[in-house]
Amino acid sequence: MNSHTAMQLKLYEFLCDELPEDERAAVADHLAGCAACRDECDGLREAMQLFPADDARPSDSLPQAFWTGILNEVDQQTRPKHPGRSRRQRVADWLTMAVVPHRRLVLGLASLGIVAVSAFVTWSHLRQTPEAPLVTESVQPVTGDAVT
Amino acid sequence: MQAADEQQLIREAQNGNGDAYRRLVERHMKHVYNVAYGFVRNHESARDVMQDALVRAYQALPTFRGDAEFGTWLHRIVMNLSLNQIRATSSRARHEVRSADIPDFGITEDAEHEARFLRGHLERALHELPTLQRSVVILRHVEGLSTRQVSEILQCSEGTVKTHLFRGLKKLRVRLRCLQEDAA
Repeated sequence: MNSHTAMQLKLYEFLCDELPEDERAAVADHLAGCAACRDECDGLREAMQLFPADDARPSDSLPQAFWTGILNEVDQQTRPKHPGRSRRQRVADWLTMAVVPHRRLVLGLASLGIVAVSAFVTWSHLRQTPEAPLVTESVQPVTGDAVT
Repeated sequence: MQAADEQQLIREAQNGNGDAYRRLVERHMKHVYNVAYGFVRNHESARDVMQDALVRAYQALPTFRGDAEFGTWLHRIVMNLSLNQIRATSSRARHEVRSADIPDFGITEDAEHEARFLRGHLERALHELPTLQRSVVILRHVEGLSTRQVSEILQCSEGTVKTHLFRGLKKLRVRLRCLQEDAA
């Protein structure tokens, strides 16, 4: 690689002002005395200016409906492939949606239910327990033989 | 370093939150389209590449570790798919730049004809560059990414990117001059 080639490879950074100060000065000195490299530099600058920084982007001319359509398409293609929520998660979601807005009512009904079930269980238990039979012991007559 | 809210969205999307991914897509989709368009130079193909890239990115999201920025990672996917698309198109038929393929970039009517003419030549010259040179020129000068971002996307050093930029722009200028002379 000759000195011109090495210098020309730095021209891009030189034009972008991305070279360290000492290298920038070396390139500037070289350009001052080298017509061939100066031509390269001018040509490169010209090529870089083909893409102005404030140029409109292709996306600028597209309507919002286009982007919404893409988002919906991507949604459709990604969501079904994702493993669905389990039955337990869906039940939990449903309960959360149903319970949270009516928390007090649900808690009241649940308390009443617990009391009613407890009462029913107690009553059933008491009803099924057989009453203790009356103890009727037959008293054997004491005979004289028993007394010695 | 990506913004904290973007990192949060990425984490949520990795956990299967579709809404989080949708918000990520909303942030990057225009850049994705512009990069794809820069390569394929056709609205329909750019749209297909963008859609494919966004779906593939979602599928690959669990493997995203955050070593590079999400945008850089996404650009890499778009670039690879764009190059695949170009190869597939080239194998079917020689890709021709038609003025109808070039969208109206909001140029005023007076300058429209001349600008379209120049842009058509520029896009054709760009398309004729070798793949790597075309990639660096599109990413750096069409999409406006920094040299560092381009080097991350292409997974090479910044010095390599600058060398390809210099050579690519040089060839581009020569080719553009030939096209303009032919047209004249």
